[in-house]
Amino acid sequence: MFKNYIKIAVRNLLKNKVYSLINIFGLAIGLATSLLILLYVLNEWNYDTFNERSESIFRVIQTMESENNVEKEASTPFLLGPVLEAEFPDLIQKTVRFYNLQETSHTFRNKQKGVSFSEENFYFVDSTFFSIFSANLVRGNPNEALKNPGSLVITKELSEKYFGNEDPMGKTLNYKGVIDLTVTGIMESWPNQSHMEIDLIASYTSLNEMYSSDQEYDQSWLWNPIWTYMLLKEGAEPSDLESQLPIITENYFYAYSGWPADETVELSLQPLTDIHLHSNLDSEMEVNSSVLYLYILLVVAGFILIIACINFMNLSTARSLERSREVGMRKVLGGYRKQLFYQFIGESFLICLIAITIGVILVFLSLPSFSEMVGKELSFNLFTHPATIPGLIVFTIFVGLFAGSYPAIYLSSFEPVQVLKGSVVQGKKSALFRKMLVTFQFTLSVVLIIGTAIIYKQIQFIQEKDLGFDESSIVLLPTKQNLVAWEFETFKEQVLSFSQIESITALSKIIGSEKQEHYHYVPEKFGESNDELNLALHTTYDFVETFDLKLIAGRSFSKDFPTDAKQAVLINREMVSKLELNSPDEAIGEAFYFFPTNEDRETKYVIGVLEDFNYTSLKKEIEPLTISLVDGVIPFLGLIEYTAIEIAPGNPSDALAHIEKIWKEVNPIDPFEYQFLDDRLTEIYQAEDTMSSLSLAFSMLCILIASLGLLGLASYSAQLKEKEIGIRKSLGASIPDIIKLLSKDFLVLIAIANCIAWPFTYYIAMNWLQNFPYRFDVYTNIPIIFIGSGIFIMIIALATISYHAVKAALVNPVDAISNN
Amino acid sequence: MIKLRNIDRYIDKRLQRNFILKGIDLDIAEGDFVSIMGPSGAGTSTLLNIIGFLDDANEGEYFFLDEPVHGLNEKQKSEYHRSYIGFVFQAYHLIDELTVYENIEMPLLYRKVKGSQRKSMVADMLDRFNIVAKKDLFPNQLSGGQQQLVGVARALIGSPKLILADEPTGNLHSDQSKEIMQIFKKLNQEDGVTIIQVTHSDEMASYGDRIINLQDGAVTENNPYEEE
Repeated sequence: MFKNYIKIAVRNLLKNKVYSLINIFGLAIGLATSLLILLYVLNEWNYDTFNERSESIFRVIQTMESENNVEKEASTPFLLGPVLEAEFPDLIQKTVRFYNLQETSHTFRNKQKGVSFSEENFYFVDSTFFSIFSANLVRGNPNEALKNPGSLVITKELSEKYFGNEDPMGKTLNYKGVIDLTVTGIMESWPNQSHMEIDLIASYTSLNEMYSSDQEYDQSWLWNPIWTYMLLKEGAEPSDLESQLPIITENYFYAYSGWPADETVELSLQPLTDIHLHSNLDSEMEVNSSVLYLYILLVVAGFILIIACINFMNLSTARSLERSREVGMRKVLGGYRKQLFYQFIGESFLICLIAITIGVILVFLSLPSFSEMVGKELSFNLFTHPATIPGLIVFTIFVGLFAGSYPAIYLSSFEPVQVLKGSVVQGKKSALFRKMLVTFQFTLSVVLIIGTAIIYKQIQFIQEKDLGFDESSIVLLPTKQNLVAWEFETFKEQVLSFSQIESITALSKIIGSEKQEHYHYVPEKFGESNDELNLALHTTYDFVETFDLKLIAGRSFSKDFPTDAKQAVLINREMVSKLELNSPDEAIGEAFYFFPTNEDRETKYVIGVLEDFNYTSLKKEIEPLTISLVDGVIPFLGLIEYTAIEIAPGNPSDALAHIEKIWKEVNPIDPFEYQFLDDRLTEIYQAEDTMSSLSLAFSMLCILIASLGLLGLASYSAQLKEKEIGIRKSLGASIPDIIKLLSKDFLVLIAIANCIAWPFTYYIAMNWLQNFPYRFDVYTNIPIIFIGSGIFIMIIALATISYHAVKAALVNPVDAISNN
Repeated sequence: MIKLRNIDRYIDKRLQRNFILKGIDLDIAEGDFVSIMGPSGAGTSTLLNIIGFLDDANEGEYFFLDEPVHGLNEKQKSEYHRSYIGFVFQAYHLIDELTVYENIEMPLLYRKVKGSQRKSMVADMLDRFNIVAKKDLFPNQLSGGQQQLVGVARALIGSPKLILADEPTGNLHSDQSKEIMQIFKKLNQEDGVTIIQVTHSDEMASYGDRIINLQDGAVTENNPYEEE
């Protein structure tokens, strides 16, 4: 019997090659797409799970709250880890601290070989690191490697980079020209599927040597530059610990002498495996992803799969006429309805099986380019993971059931008396159902197209938006506490000597980027006891000129005014409103206290007002800002991180070569590294960018699959109406008349689909856009996008239908009529 | 074998009830060869369908082998189809995707007959109808008469007690028709198979031993030939 079913199924597939191809390829593309998405989602989902004890590892985070400011921070004070370990020995197994000196680049130098590189992924960590995280040491002893001051563990790749073929164990790398670190271990490269990136780790005890002049450096409970992780004891619940954490805030944080009176702090625990998808705090180690994007992708995968399944249902039921006689005959010969149901469900499983085989091949073929698109190393291997093949089987069965059950129920319901008369009239019910399914398909397609258009438009808007400063032709050089910082004036002078260099300045943070600083700088008129933190930027002279900022009142920093060095501050327009002044001009001369409650309080006066510019990224609103001048080596070393150089438009290579030459003269230790500001700013929107290209690709696939289905249905309806077309043609209908006849029904469905999709998409899109303080002009663009998408779908559908309509219209009417 | 009592079959329209069959009483004994005749629309096919459990009467009682049919569910009806009844249709109704051999084999699959036995049964049947050479052909490669031979072979392979034939020769020319009728005659006489056929042709009806005339849903003449 089974063999008989297979035979029938295969012969039916071969008999209707076009339908079979549409069915199988539609499903295969749908399955492949959802598999790819699933791979991506699983990859994101399993971040940090490579740690054997990931379930018991938590990060401590703190929420600082003052009257009008709440900051959730991923980092904590220095001493929190050891204090927690000492206070809760029953709950906590171990803690480990990570510290990167709050710097994003670290210079290491192999003195023997004379090579130096700048590294981003470097931390000082406690020796407990290896007993909490699952790092694979290839050389060295995990218990000893990070114990002594001056120990360093590096990855294999870095070992090759710094030492070539030599054995690095016991050799030294100099860190920033400050301290020699001895290699005590080599580890496998840190997995990509982690919210942290690690290339080098040094023993935490080395910090005492780094800070030899200031052994009090770690005593503050206000300064929180440390990431603290802990391993809970077996059986200990994080909630047990969390409920006792107020003791710590009371006895340590509030007890600290420098603690601001009206500021509260709350500690909480964050599961390690939640960080990558659920954490978007201030001072994260790396920018994390968002689970929202995964949900969106899963929904898209579901859409595509549903559309492919609907194709299958539609084509199977539409063609039921051809199978109806078989059904009737089988029933007459004694087949139960159940047996017929199983036969048809079985056929759909067979088709799914073929589709999934092709789908898996498609996945293999497209995985490299998909990986590149999403910026991940995704792998798909049928045999490495024991759940893969059973998973695929379950997937096949699920899709087979979903797509196959309606046709199976419908086909097995035929009454022999009716179908064997040979004049089966297409059930009105099934035709209506089919129309509903087509409408649904196109509704999903329209939702995806409009969604894509809106995402694309918004990303483009953000990337092209005028930030209020000129981000082009600006080269950034990391300058924190290196020799260029010591010799900045010399460096500046020499760099400016080249004609293609327009201007040069230095600043504390990259403007336009996520990272920003808040300082205790307050307007005098708000009183001395004011505790609020304001957004602050520190720069050297020529800041306004380099970035082409617009001065709306007063003047910029100038060496002509000797008082500027100590007393000048610039503010932005937003700050003028905050000061409740009527015009920017009134702000000139306003006084600001820097650290008003502190002994070394300074008073500065506003010398100029700048038009608002996007100092932080476009994901945030413009805030009131103070810009203060850094003059002199000591403040420069303390505050400045980057040098910004504006070069003349055109080919930058000459200018860069010149800057590199000067850099090497001034700073022979650190490698010359630069980045263009506009490139740096683009990185901020990486996640949105990836989303935008993913949704573009997927919605195109969606339309492709839906059109395939339409193609099948159109060909079927042309076939059904062959006789009608023949008669109409013999009565004088023209080809456009025939196309109209065939397309009318479908176009009505697509119009309905648009009507359903529009309000739904509008609602979702508006919600999504709420995340962005800066949005493209929604009210003029949305009608264009919506109507444009509707027309786009219509055109695609019309083109698809016309193919068959024209074919049907060109048939000689006599053939069509006599055939029937 | 078949006992119909006061069978009504009707379709309700909005304002009236249209009777297809009305008050049919009929007894058919095992071993009968009955021809049901009547003009188009007289209800001949409907009567045959009711006898073959393909259609249900609205009123009345139907006993098949003394079992009441009006109480059977779909599955029990299928059981009867498997074991007792074979159908032959005017349009043959062979399955296009199956070969001659496979078409004939199909009823056996539903009866779960073992593979080796199935083979010999189909081989016998092919032999009997002289279509061994055609066994691997598909229906559309055969002439109408050959297709109907396959249809008859398929109806017979389950050794049914009753064969229901709805205008079996309606699409055939006279030589082919005669061949089919002779097969029926032989089956009826030699194997004692009960045969009920619907036909419009007096010639075809004459192969049977009893004729039932239907007119507007009612039996007008029961066995006119016998009265002669």
